[in-house]
Amino acid sequence: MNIRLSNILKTFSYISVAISIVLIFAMIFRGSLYTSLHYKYSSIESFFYNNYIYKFNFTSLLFIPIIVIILTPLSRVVLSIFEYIYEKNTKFVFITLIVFFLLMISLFLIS
Amino acid sequence: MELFLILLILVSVIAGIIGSLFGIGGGIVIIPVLILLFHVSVKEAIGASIISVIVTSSAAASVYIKSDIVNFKLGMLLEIFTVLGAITGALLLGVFNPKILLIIFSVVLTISSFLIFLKKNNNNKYYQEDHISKYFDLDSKYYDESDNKVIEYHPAHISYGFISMYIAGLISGLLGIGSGVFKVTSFDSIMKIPMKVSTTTSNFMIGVTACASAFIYLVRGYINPYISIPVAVGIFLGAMIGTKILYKQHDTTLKNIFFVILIAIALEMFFRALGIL
Repeated sequence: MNIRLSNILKTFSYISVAISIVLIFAMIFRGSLYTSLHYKYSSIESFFYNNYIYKFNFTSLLFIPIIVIILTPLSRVVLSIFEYIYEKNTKFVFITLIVFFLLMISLFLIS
Repeated sequence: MELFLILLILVSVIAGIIGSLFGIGGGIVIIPVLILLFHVSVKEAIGASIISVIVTSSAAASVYIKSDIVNFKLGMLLEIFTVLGAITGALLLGVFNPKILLIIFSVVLTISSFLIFLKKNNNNKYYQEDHISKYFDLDSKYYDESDNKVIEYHPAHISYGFISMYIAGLISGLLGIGSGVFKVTSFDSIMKIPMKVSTTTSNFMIGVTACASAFIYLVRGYINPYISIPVAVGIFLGAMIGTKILYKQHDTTLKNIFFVILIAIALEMFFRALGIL
């Protein structure tokens, strides 16, 4: 279980960092680092309403590693549920499910 | 602007090392530096800090889990209470004056830091059987590279641990800060767990607590990718270096440095309450 969990955390981390490094070089190449201090998104809604994500412009690409980073701990909780099911550890299947549902509730409360 | 980028990554590397060593996420370094040195807004600095907490947690935990230092079951059990606390904190947002809370917590942290500093190493010398710990099979052991021996430990006072972790989550939800420092203090002072297990298990946990907060910050537009991306890369590099350093450190050394960090965090909270940071 430990090795599988370690691997999933490592994979997600490496993916997000690899994309981030490519994007940093792109920022330098485009000379867009200056915009970092004049960044103007008031909310993620405006980001979606303005269709930046569908246009695949540079700023929309910048959110890809951010979303991968945020989803990493969630993926770890989901994997733990399956790992405990595999181990037939019912106590911790239940506990991990509670953590997962609490996280879902927190997301629901936000939206 | 390349200098801005290089400095930002370098600062993040340092934050990543500190965060992964002490299970606190690195926000203590990132937030004041972004605000004071890079003139980033407070909200965006906190947004970048939340991302840094998740990166530190994921990168460091990927190494610590493999080496069996993390008490995985204990971390998962306590996550119920930190997430519950974080939800309560988010719901109570606006009810309490954050400035008063910051002052209270800075005082609590200062007292806790002296308690930790004055106390001898846990390492299971004061073993008391805990029925919750026994029921969930939380006793564990790990190989300590610095002492070249296997250390067994038995988590104590788990019921108090539930309360303290709920409070840690509450603080996180109320103040928008990573509550790693409260988690480590709780592991060490209440549950009598060795320092290395405390910091690594806290590291493992903070990612989940920060995950919910990160969604809030993303939805509210506080995460500036132009800042958060270089921070994430620096933090990742720092966290990987930090994991290498941890194995070679003695618990007492970690505890002494942690004392200094606690004082620094208490001061930061106090200055934030006064509106200086």
